[in-house]
Amino acid sequence: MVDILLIIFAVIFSCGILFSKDPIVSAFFLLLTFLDLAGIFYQLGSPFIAAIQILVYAGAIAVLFLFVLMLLNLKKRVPHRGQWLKKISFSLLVVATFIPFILTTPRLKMAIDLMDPPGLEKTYKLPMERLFSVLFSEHFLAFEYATLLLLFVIITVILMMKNQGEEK
Amino acid sequence: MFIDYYYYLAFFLFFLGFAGCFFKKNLISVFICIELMLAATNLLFVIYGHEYKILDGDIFVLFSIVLAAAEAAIGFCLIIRLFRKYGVIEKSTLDEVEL
Repeated sequence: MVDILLIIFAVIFSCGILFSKDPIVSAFFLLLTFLDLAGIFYQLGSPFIAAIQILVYAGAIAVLFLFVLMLLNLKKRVPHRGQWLKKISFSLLVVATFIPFILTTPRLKMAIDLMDPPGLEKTYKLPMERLFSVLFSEHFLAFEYATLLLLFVIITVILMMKNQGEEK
Repeated sequence: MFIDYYYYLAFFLFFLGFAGCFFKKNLISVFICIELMLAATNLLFVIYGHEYKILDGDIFVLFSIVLAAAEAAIGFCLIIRLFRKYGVIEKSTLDEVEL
């Protein structure tokens, strides 16, 4: 049930990205698609990746898109008057995104109890512990390269924006 | 059981992003479509990690998110520079760029 809902919402929101004329509406649909994908990651048994998807993708990257769009302010936006049906249906769609999350909540509580049963000594690793024990042993070199990549990106962006000031 | 549908969904999202790269005129919309393609590949990584019961899928998603953040930073830097120089950000603006 939850899987079907998640798939249907993902299809609707991704079609919304492609078929909306306004880039801001596209960015909102992208945000909703990311939230939906986080639900799918949770269903596939990767709760940590789902959390990262919401925190980094939906919280940082999609908001960065909206921020840049509002900064550039491409055209004078005419406030949509009337069109109540459109507005209400869009709002209902956004609210409906959270139905799969609400449906998974009882299972989430069960998963937490399974991970840390009360009155039992912990003899196994939590999912995140397992993930990071692999990340910091087998993939440590790749991890270091990722940090270097981010450092170089910071330097590149600063240099690019600095040169622009000198041209004027 | 639903893993097949997730698999089809990943392909659907990827090709939707791929089509958007061609049909959208605004550069930021093209950028949004590229992010959609990256998200679809992330979904594929998680699906395969789930199918083969390995953690490498999750770890590659972490690296992919780092790449997406880096790509967004550089891309927006370029787009803002283009906007300040030419005033519009359409795909056709790129034809006028002098290197």
